[in-house]
Amino acid sequence: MSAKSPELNYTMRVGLIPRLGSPIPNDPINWAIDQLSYNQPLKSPAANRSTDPTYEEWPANLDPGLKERLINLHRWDEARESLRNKHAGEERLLRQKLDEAQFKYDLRWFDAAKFNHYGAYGEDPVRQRLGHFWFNHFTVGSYDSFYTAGDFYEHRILDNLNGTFADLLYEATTHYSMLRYLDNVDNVSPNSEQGRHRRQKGKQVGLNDNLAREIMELHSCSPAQGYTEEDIHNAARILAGWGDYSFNPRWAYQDWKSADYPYIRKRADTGTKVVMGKKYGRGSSALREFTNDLAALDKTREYICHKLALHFISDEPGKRVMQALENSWKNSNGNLLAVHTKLLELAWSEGENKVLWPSHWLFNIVRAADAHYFDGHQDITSWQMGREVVKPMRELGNSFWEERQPNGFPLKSREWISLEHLDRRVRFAQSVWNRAFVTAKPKEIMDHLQVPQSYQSKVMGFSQGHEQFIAMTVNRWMMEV
Amino acid sequence: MKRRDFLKLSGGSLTLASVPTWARSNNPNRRLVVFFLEGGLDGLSALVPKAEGALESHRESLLPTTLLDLNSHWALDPSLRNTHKLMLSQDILGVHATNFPYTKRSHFEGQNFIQGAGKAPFTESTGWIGRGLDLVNYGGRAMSLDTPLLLRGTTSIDNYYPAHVKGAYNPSSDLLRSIHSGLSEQWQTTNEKLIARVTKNTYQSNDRSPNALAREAGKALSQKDGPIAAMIRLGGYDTHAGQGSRLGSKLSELDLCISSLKDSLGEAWDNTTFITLTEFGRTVKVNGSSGSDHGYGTCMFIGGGAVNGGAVLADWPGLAKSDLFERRDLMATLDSRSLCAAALEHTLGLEHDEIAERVFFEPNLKRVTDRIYL
Repeated sequence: MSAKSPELNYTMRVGLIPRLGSPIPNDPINWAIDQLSYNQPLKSPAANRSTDPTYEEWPANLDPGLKERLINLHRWDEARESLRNKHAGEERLLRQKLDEAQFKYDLRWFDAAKFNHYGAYGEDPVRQRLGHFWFNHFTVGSYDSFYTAGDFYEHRILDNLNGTFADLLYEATTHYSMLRYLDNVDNVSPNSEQGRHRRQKGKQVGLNDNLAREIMELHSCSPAQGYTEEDIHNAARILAGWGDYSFNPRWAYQDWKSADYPYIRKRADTGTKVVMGKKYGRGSSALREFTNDLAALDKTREYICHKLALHFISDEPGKRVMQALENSWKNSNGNLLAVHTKLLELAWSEGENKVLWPSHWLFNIVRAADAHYFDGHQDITSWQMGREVVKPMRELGNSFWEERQPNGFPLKSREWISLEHLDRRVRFAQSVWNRAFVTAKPKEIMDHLQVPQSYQSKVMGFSQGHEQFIAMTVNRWMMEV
Repeated sequence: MKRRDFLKLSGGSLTLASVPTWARSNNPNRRLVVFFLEGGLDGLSALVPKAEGALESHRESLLPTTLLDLNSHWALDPSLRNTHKLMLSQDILGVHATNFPYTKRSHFEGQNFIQGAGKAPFTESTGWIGRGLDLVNYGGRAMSLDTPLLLRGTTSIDNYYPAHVKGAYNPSSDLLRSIHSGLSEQWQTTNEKLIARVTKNTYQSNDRSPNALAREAGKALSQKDGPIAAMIRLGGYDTHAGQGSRLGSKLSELDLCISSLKDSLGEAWDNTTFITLTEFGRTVKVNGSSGSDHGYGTCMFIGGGAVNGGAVLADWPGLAKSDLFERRDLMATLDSRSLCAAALEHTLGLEHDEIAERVFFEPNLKRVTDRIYL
């Protein structure tokens, strides 16, 4: 079998295949770089029930902003408590009422559906792929963090792809999903007003260093920096006060600046902190200072550039790649637009064999067949229906809306090759063919995918449509770049 | 409690390794199961040194209100009911104040180090069970979506994890053969295993809860030509906040897995060893959110019909501040690699020295096999 064209391969390496009917770009590097400044809203089918759906923008009320989401979270907490009291002992009825109430206040399934639609229909696949990389780098992976994970992806990750890494680090650290996922909502300094008050009442009080540890280990400089346990302890003191459980619209006295930056002074540490030799004072500005300092470290640059290269270029990126990428970081002071641009250039000339994440493979086969596989927002009419949205990616072991460890999905190809992973590819190809309103002729799809004529004849030898589709999508040129 | 107590008592994802093509084991029916507890098990809550005076002052709010007593020194968390019974019937050995020699408290380095067992995290592309299987030329089978590092070696590893995909059916071996030439070499190797499994049509269960995977593991391991080793991954042990109820439910899950494994193994329980592994223990002192943070020493459970159970094996370091690792964590006084080496020695019939040198790259690794097995 001959290789696919470098242009098609590149679209898959850094982005996703154009949907059937759209051409494979003949100037792929600029095609990719242009997407970095893409700012059009997503248009996709509101419902996944037709072979020829109308493409519409997603309703604004599904992206209401973080404050509104947190108010809704509080309402959901209240509703849950009230329903549990009202329907105590009526297990089935209670479950039904809870599902109805949560559906009213929790947008997680809509967020997951929109994420899928970005992948299946987005005209900015390179921007989305970078978004996926950073959403994975800043993993939020607990049930509670998913209340606001859609806001985290749209407004802390995607909205900050062209700023500095320092900005992105700070924005990701201070979002509710992150503060909740890594337990910083429970991080209260013992010398804070609330800490002293709780101690006087004989209650447990103290720091929680989970986010402090991961912000250094996973999000910035990595253990290669050689920081100490004392540094982590002091980082936790800087972070104390960031985050809260709920946002009660009736509580006027709360002293956070806004829901977007939930800093609670009465939980914060009042002393001076020293991390890696640098002193930090009291107040909310210490965190920004700290994340800026982390972002400026050489080890941060090396670690982040290496991860980017691992994901987009090679399982073993060479010195030349690393030097070029790191220079772009150095010369731009960590400006991600510059770093991403260099990455996209390097991916054209230096890319080596990689196995695609299964989610990207699934997006690609859906796009290549012009298929409508993922539920739209109108399909989600109940909490139960919503649960279905996340199942395909969960089944592929690649769901961003599934509970997981903070180190995120692995970047190396080896981690994605297994008997079960192959089994899932075969099953999903079949599932897309059977369920996704594919009207395109196999030959059209294969021509779009540049399948060699010799292999096309072999594919056409299968008598069943789903077998033909499996043969044309479960192979080296669709699973690897 | 004193140091060097060896106290005789009075009383989810799964990975398997398959049929030997050439075996050196003195008993080819022996099997090994690893429960990998991801997140860092708080050993002081699971296997409680209840006679330790400092325990209450460090962590009163983390102590369960009731305990399952083992003897005057030790007790189990109340969620470990089946484990308790099996300890009393001398089928399970508790080990305390143990860990791999990794002290940096990172989940991901720790998990990698404990599976890879090299000189440092991220230095090995194979795992210690995988390398052990290589020495006897056994193949492997991973009952999870991916193949964990622990089982990876140069010999063949396959997987099992039931699929739930709408609009798709089991692929036929004919179809898989037909797409073979379109796959790259690395996927072709995998496809051959998939074809073999489809042809055998061995597994029917649709349930992939940890308990179900433990049951499936037991069934598979109990077959004469069944797998040699299995790994079940159970997540959720990173209990930074609200540890009490969270850890209780996780330990219940483990407890059920152990019980299901034993039941499904049937008589093969006598030839099977299971061990629990986790990347680190947790801080001795409770943190500000009724949880505990990353630590060092923890506990392990080693069970099976051939295990010399009914005891807690510990070179107990004590909980006074000066006894703690970096004045905050339970010290690990027993290298867990010795326990893993013992399990390999027993299961695969290899010499300890060979395991120490070629699997753990540590020729001076202490041999404790005679303390673990009858």
